[in-house]
Amino acid sequence: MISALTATGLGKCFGRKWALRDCTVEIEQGRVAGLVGPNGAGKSTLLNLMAGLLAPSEGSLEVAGNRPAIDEEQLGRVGFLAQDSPVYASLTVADHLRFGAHMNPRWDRAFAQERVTAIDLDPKQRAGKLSGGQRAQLALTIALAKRPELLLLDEPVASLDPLARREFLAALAAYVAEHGISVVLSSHLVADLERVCDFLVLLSAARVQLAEDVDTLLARHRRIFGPRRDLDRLPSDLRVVWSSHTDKQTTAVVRTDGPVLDPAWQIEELTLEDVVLAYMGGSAEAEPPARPKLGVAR
Amino acid sequence: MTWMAWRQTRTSAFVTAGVLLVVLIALLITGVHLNNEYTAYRHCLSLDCGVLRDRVAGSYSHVKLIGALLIGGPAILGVFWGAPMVSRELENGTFRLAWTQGVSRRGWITTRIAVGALETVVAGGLLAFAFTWWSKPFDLTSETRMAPAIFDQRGFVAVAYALFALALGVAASATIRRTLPAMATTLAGFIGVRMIVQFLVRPHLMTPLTKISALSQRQPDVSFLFRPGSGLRLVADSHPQLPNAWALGAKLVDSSGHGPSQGFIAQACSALLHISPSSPSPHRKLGPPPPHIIAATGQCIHNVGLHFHEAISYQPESRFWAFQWLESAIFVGLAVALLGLAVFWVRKRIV
Repeated sequence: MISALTATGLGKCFGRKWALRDCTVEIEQGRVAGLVGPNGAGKSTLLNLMAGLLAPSEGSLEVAGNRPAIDEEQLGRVGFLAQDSPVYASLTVADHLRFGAHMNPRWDRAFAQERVTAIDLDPKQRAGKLSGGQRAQLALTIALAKRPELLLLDEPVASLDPLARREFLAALAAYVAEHGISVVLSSHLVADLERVCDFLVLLSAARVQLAEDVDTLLARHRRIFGPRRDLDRLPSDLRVVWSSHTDKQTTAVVRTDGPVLDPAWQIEELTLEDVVLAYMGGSAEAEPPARPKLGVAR
Repeated sequence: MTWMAWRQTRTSAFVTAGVLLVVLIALLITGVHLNNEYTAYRHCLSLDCGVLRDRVAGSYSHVKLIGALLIGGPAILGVFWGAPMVSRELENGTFRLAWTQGVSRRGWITTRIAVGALETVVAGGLLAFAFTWWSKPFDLTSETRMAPAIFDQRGFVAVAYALFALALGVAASATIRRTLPAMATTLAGFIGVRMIVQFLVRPHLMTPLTKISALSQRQPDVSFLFRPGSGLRLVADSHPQLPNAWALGAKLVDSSGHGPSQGFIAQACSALLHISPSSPSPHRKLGPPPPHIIAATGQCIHNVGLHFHEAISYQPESRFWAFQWLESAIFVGLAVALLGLAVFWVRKRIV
């Protein structure tokens, strides 16, 4: 089974500053993976490494079964939509489709034509005069019409208004549902990803904090709250991701493989956004040494 | 990729083609007339042939300025075609689009260079060929093709300059990554290398020939230089003229190749030496020098000329095509090296 992404100890530094470090992630083929994290967390760096625009400083990286941009066949297998959807301002929409056709051996001319018509782009329009949403749609059309096995999208909806955002993600979801390709897309807004992603990679401070199937992720995280107490005495199978105390009450986001059994806690399910925010809150506490495990007397 | 490389240079190629067309038509129309004038001079049997010759030499001085395109055109080309080639993609972010399609970076940059070079050779070749043909009547009547400013406007050497300028532009573009600084570097580098080659390298491309001639009194080939303290010095004509040759310089030599010594000059030109300190007239009115100075000068030249000759080193016109090949080879060689650097940089260094 070829993975969409296999990164091992991957790192990239610019000068002395590490933009990405110790990145070890595997994403299976056919997944739609969301890449979240605050600005400057290394999302763009990881995507540019995967697209072959950057060379790793350390570690190894394979996308769709091969090193990025190793040859033209590999370049053809990976579609990339860069941040802010760069297009040639002086070239028309039709020129861009011709560009795609000349640059890609597996170019799907009919699909590209159809899609441009469907999203209502005037082929004679210069790309420099398109709106942000239209430009993103044009760039997505080029990335899709090359028939990639893996599609990389760097903040594809960041500059779009809510309506264009929804249309873009709907178009993407429809295409992925039909063709079953692998997708990695980044966003600093989890709400965008929630609709389309089934896998989540959380980057923060140049490191991978979390890389997991979305369903598993949701099943394993809980918010617990109750009368104020010391979290050190929680059972060892609960890992505290984030916590906050008021005079009377303690609230925490915990990760656990099983149910939370202590009746003193009230338990809430979490949304994906809650989990991500908990990790980005940065209060990932160090694991305290040997705590007693709470069991159930049967 | 070829289509894209053409599409991206299309507008400037059309503009260049338009300008070129106008220039070629102007050269064709005036050139036919010029050739007729020249033919009239060649077949002249009367005594007034000099008039016809001067008519050819003096005509179309404005059209002659087209030759400046062969001097300045390569620089323009390097600055506006070469220097933006990579950096503009980097600045606009479109490299992220271009380099993630199914064409490798090597394929992308080599195709863009190849298309640019082809356009350069076609445009430069047409202009250089047409202008060389147009200038022929001048070359045969009044001008020396070897002379520095003329040599550059004849033959095919301008095409080599243009290729070099393009390569310099692309290399600067890839390594500097910003268009404006790359443009400035290209312009400065092009002018610098052209100057160095023209003034320091070209005179020595082949060993200069030497023409020995006697010092003549009518056209003084020597000038006199008084230096307080060191007495009188003789300096051979610093800008000697030779028909059909590029004269590089001249000096006074005796039969064994040595210059005149101080003592010899003091002796040979004693009359002049005796005048000079006594006539320090800095506010002398301009005009012919007083008769006694003319006489003393003539005496001096005569005495020096008994033992010394003027030796002019020069490159003859017969070497014109050899020089065209040699200098073109230098610039094309530099261009190839720079393009290699640009390809390497795009493939490996822009990460």
